[in-house]
Amino acid sequence: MRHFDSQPNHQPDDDRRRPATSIAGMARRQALLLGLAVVVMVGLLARTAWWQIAQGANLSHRAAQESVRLLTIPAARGAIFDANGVALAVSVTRESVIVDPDLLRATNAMRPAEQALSKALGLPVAALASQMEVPGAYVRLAGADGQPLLLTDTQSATTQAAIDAAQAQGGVVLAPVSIRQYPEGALAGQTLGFVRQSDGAGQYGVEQMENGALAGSPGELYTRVSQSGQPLALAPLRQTAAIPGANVTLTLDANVQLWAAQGLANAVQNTAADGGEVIVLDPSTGGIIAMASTTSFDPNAYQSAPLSSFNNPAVSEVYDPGSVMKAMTMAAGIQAGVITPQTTLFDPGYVDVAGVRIYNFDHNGHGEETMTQVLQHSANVGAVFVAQHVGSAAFYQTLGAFGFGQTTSSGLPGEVRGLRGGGNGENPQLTLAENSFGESIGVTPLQLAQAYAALANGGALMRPHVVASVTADGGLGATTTYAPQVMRQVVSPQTAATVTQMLTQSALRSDAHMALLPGYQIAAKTGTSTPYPNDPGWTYASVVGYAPASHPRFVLLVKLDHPRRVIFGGDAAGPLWRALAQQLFLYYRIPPSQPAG
Amino acid sequence: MRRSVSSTAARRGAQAVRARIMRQPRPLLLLEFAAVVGLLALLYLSQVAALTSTRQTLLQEQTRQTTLRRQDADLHAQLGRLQSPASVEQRARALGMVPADPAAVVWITLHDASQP
Repeated sequence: MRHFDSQPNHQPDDDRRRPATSIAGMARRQALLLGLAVVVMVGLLARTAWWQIAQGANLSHRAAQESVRLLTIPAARGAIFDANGVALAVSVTRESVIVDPDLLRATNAMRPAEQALSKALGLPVAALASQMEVPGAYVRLAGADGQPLLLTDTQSATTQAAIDAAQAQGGVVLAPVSIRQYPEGALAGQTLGFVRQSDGAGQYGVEQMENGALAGSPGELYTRVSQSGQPLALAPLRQTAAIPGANVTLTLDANVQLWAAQGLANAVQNTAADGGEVIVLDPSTGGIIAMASTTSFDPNAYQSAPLSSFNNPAVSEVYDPGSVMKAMTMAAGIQAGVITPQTTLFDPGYVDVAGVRIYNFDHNGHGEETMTQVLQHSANVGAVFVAQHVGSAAFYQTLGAFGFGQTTSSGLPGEVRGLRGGGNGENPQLTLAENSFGESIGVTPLQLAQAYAALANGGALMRPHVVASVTADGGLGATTTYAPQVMRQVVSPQTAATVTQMLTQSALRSDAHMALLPGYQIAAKTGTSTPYPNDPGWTYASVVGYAPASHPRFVLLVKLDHPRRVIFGGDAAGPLWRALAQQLFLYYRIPPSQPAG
Repeated sequence: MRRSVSSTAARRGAQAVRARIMRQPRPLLLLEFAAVVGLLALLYLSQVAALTSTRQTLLQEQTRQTTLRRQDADLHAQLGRLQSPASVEQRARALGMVPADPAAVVWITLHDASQP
């Protein structure tokens, strides 16, 4: 018998119970899963809160340490120009090359990088390989002198593309380096000085003297950086702009400097001298127009120059000036009123002072001679006569007023004060006598030029200076011009005029041979000193003077150390002095007193 | 206590608004809220984008200025070499010129005809 359910799809009891159980189970499982999810979410939230809130400050600080940098923005160093705007020192930027040998090896990019850099640096591949194929992650390519190798100014398109490819591939980085260039080479090297490559500090000369103005002020960029160290535009936190260095314009004239340097080199060769200096000053302002010495150096290659060449002998070395000092002795006598140009003495060729016989340089007597003739004959006897009549106190007071025994205040590094007597030595009378004709007294060439400039300038002593003006912000800012500075009135204008006349008249007939420059009134004096009494052939030979005498445009000093072929001032230094003077007359358009027409 | 007509009306208006909001379906509420938040976020992001863009431009201009200063320095160095007296003399000699002999220069003074 078949059983039929009365209710279709009727499930047995077991079947009826199954749906309810399944639903409840499913609900329980869902609840369990939901519970687990909630627990996980709460846990994640708690973890997040822990890191974001509890550790937030710490993590933020650590992140800043890793990604925030204080970058220095270097300031461009100012340029140095001569009086005519010719660039004497300029800073240019070149790229040095830093390679990562480990990365180049890992990416098999060593050979392509070496070839690309070989073309860019102009070096054989083998020379680069010795530096690049080493273990390590940082190598700055350097030359044999240890200085960074720099890419040349311009690259061919192919080479530039190769460098760009090497950079893009990684392992090669170009780092800018500021290089100081001196287009004139060794010209005025000692006056300019140089910039030390390691720290950019000016050393010696104008580079040191005006380092504060030339260097400018570096800026700062406090910002987050990328992994490669590049600042992120997204988040500069603080920025201070760099202030470019100021441009400095000198009183130096590169043309006159070149003539002085070339002439000096020729004169040293012609006289077989050990060396020498030439100085040209503007007497009305104290501006230094030229300052040349044979011991100069090329600032472009200062690393290979001897240390002694960095010192400027025009301000840092003293010597016995010899008879050029007689102009100061005459000025002291006329200022004191004890002599006039017509005052006479009898000159037997020698004078006894404190038991020591002092001779004229040529051992000749000149009989009755005027003070002007004393200068013409360069008679030591006459100079002693004047100094003794002036008296020790007044004589040394005058020498001090002329600047001897103290620095000229030029500001040039390494300047010395020199030596002069003062009556306190072991034989003051003898020292006074010797100082009157420029012996046993130590002066620098610049001191002597400054003293003659005072005579040319109506008795007013000007501060020698080589900086004419400073223009801020790389030449775009305000200009500060240094006004000429009168240090003091040494002698009256009348005294200065009288001494000038004496020098002019004596120069025509003396061994200065200024008559060889017809039509020009030149106030000049020769000097020959013998620093080694046992070697009278060893001399400092010099000529110092100014022209035109009526309105002096320049003071010119020429000094030769130990000339051998001719030893006296007029013969050794005279030809160069006259040649430079002629050049300056033409350059400054100074016609002779009696031109054609 | 008597209440003013305006405060009663305002209270009734606020209640009406609340009632209207409460009558809205919940998803629509959420959508409106998200739209407001999104709008604010958009505004903020646009400001940040503008600021970033300006900073990027500033960096580019500073880089360009640095490049121009470098070029200026290079040109000054080149000019210095060309203007160098030694260089000028060398080029002059190459053209066949010789330095003038100062002693050979003749000075000619031109007299003013009106002067005696």
